[in-house]
Amino acid sequence: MDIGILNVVTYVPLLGALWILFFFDDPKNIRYGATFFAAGASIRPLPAMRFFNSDGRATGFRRSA
Amino acid sequence: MNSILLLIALLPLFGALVNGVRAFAKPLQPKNRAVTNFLAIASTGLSAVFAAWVAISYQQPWEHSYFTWIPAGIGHVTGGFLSNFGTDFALRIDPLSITMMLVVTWIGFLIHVYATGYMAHETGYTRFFTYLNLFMFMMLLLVLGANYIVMFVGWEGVGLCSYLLIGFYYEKNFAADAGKKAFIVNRIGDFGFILGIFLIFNTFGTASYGRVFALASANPLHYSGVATAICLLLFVGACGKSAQLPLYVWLPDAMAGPTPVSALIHAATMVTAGVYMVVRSNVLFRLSPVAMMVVALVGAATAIFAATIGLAQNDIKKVLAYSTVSQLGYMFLGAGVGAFTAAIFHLMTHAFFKACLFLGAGSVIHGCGGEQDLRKMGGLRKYMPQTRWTMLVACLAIAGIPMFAGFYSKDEILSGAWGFPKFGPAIWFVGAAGAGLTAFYMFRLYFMTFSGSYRGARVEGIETSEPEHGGHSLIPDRTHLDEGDVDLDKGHGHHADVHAPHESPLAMTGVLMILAVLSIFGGWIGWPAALGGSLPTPFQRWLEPVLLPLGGHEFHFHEASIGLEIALMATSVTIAVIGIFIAFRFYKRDETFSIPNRLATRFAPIHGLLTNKYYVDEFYNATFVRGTVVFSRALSWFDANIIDGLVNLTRHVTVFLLGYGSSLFDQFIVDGAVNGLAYSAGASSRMFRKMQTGFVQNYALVMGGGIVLIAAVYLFLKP
Amino acid sequence: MKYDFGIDGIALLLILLTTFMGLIAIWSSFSAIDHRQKEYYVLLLLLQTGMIGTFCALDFFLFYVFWEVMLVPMYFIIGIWGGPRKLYAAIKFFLYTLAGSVLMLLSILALYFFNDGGIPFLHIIGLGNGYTFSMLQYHNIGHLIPVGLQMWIFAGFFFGFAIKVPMFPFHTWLPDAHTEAPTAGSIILAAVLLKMGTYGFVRVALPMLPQATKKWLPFIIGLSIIGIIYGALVTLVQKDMKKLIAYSSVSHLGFVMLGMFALNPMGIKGSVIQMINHGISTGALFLLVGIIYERRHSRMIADYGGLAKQMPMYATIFLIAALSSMGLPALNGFIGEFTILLGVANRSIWWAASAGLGIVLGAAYLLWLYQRVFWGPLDNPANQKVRDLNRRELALGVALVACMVWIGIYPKPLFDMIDKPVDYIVRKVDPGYFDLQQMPVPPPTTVATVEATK
Repeated sequence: MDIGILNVVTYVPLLGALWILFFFDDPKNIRYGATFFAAGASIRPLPAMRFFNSDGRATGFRRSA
Repeated sequence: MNSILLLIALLPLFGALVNGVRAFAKPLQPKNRAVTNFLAIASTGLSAVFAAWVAISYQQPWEHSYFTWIPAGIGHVTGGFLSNFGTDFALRIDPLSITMMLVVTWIGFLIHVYATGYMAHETGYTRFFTYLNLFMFMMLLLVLGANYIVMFVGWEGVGLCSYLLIGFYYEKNFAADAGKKAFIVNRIGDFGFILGIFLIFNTFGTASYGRVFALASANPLHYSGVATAICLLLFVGACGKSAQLPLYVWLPDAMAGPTPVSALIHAATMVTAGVYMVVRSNVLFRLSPVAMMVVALVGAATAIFAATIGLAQNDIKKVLAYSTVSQLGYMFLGAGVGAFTAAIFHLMTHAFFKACLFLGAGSVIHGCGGEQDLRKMGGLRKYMPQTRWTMLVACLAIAGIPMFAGFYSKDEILSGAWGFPKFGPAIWFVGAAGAGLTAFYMFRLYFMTFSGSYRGARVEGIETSEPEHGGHSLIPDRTHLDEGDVDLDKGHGHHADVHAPHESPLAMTGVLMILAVLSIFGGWIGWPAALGGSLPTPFQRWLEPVLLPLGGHEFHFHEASIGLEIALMATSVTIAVIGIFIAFRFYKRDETFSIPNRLATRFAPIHGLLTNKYYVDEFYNATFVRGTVVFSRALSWFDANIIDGLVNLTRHVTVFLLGYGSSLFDQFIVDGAVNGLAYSAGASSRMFRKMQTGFVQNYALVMGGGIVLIAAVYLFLKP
Repeated sequence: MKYDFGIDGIALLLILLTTFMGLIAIWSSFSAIDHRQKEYYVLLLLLQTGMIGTFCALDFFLFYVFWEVMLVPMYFIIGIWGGPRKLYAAIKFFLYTLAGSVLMLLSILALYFFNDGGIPFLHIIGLGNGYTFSMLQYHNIGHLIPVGLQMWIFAGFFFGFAIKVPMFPFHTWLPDAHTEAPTAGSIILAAVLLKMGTYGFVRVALPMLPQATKKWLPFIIGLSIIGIIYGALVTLVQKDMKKLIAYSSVSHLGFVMLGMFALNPMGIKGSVIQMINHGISTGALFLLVGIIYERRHSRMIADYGGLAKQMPMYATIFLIAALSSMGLPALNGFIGEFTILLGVANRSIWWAASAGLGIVLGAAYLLWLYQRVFWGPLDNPANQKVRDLNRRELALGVALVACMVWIGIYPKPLFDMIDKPVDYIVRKVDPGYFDLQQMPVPPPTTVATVEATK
């Protein structure tokens, strides 16, 4: 799995936290913003599941670059 | 064929899911009930039809694996081998599973039809059929599974449905309690069952019937040691599900559920799962004479124990419940003595006549406006003729009268018992005595219900007459409710008025008639050799493929001389007839029941013991339940005060040490250093002050000494 | 320290759990949190980063950094938006966990030094492989560490992880943290933070310290079994719903630890799967308790009764979550429990028997809870007008139930993901495990197992 996915998944919530901290004030925006950033981190790893399919192709660890 | 088999199980699931979602809709209009009926009955009916088709086109046993379910990994098998411990979702067709499947689907279908009539006035109608359909799915998984794990899924699944259906009237505490009790007692049995399954994995490397039984059959001596442990653990599970001693206590309480539930789950199908499991595992049991003995003895003990309790119960459903426990005991007795086909045969005939009895009882209860107390019935032959005749047929069947189904199956069990190498005749005797008691209490029930004159109207204050848990002999306050209306006591206040008992609708009586016919002719496929049939009987020949050979030796059906057979049959029939006759004297001849009443007063302690079910429930409550709760409370106290106390102690100690310690540190060390510094400044200045004497001669001396010292150092250090 | 990020199947599963439950937690907070919302959501997102980073880290320094990062947002979440004793609970959680982490740091440093120069004042000669914090490197040299040193290193890690699991007797921070935390805090705490401890054991302790693992085995098995039974018994008599579920977590995670230390593929696979399952089921239960708390502001069981009549959808979803928690087949809990016990029984049927008691007790406490809250008469007037689930809550519930059912019926994809990593770990800790012969195929019998042609 390339460097992109893991770093995205890990740091998108952090990015979201900072964004909300500095740019959002209205509660509704905050809530939806938080959901958006969390969802972004949730949906991103899904394609990675194809590396771990039924014939168990991935062995041990997949390292980032 | 693969898909048909799966469809048989999935159709009821589909019905359950659709009805389940619909159940959340606002109160059902009558036409929506029709949709519920259609979904529930059509799915079960189609299942039954497909099941019949599979049975008719059956040729040889086969299994099909649909998908890999739990690929658990590679494990170690005793003896130092590796094996794949994975489990597939696989179904199996063979004579045993076909027999069970037919019983489950067809009796299930009939009871679904009956329930449309019985539950017609209840709220939660759709919810009821959702649960009932879900039950059918789970039960079919249980009997069609090709390995112990799929069976276990169905096993626990039917336990869940039983919980939901017993607790169907969940607003009543006794119903909720009964549901919870059923599930937990079952879980205790399941605990043993699952340990047995683990031992099977450790021994055979798999839990798939085909492989396990093939291995055991080919190599009996190698496996006979561990077979005892496996079988005893499996039997613990069977005791839980099939309500044998000591785990039977949930079944009588389960009568809190609606009567169709009692008929389907707690008579015809779910409770027979234990018998099915033992017969399915016959290869393993036959490897362990100890386990077989245990099964036979527990079965026999339960049979007679429950029969004695049934003698003294006054709630019509409770009598039938204890009767079920007793008859299940007979089935295990049969399996334990090696008469496996007899056990399944009795399972089948029992399903017919017990369902007929329960549904008949339901019809009686329905017709009497919710009354369940035998002492308030009577004379119903005038009001409910179809119910009466069908129940008479079923009572004759359960009593073991020749020509009726129960006779053939019970006789096969008893003759198998006689021939059992250890204590055979003693076991036979217990069985025969139980049969006599069965005949007695069943006809007691019959005469008290249908003979004499109706006693119901005369009694005022119709709450319960049962001296036990909060009075649940009535279907709680919910019968005859208008659709969707939750409010009670509208219109039909059947407590106050005295409308006469009435016969039930066709949906109910029609089913009763079909079951009555089955209760006669259903036994004829096991016509014994002694009476002109064949050895093995047609039913025995049908089930034979399931009874694998052991180490090359084929399974032998028990054979006895015709004379002995006829003598045994005659004896047991005679005992049954005597039982019926005594019931006749006690309950029909004399409408005031003077003889039994006198006996009850004369032998009050014994009678009290029987009426109160030997106080087993109270005993369990006082010991296991209270014991666990008290112990848990102690542990909880321990957790909050000792363990957490230690944690909080570290807090206090740290705070103390840091706080006090730092103030000490501050006082003595920090401050001390500051003070010390000041002190040393003073001390050194005092010391230096001494040098200022004012005496010039001292200064000259020091100066001279200094010059000499410097010259000496210079000369000394000069390289 | 290198920036070493990488995952395998186990980590991936846990990351999926984290992101899913994180989303559920955020979504569930919409109606629960009404003051200082900005800080709250910022903290939740920071927590998310910390958790995912821990799972991805392959460098010990990085691992430790993320591990500590997780503590702070959780401390604030409990301490600001929590219940009456929030400060006590938050500080207890923070300090207790931190104490363990510090010991863990010592172990990390010991490994670090052993890998190259050794530890002179302890007379331990290093391997001379260069200074690195790489976890993969430690996997490779693990079996070379002298047993005495291994035991000490294991002890350090043990305290760090066992407190987080939480294992008996280090579990007392959990009930307080859970009862005082806001709903989303409980959900994340139960679903993910508790898995950090078990993940640590399976990623660090087992592969890196094989001999120590085997020596510590009886002790840990004992603590796990005690945790299962003790946890279940204490759960039985709780009066506060959240405390009840908290103690049930202790019992469930006892199962997870037991499975892991069976040291065979079934046990470890079951353990990992059960980590996921516990996250979903217990997360769901906390969510559901939070829902009723928002309406009635009480978590005491005695305040309820007969709710099924007033809130049928809620009752149904709660029932499914409870059944999943007690391991009913066809739901996810069974898959994990069964596989764990299968693995444990493979080692010793007696261990499996002791743990099996937990199954019976599990049914007892959950059904008793369910009956007291949902069945029986609807007596309390305060309960008679309570609204059933709104659309958002229903969506959350259905999403969780869908997971429970899906994993219960078709868990194969999850098993496939962790198959190779688990085999790798088993090989590290028990090298000869797979070196036996395959079981012989049984001879043909009179019962054919032929597939029909249709």
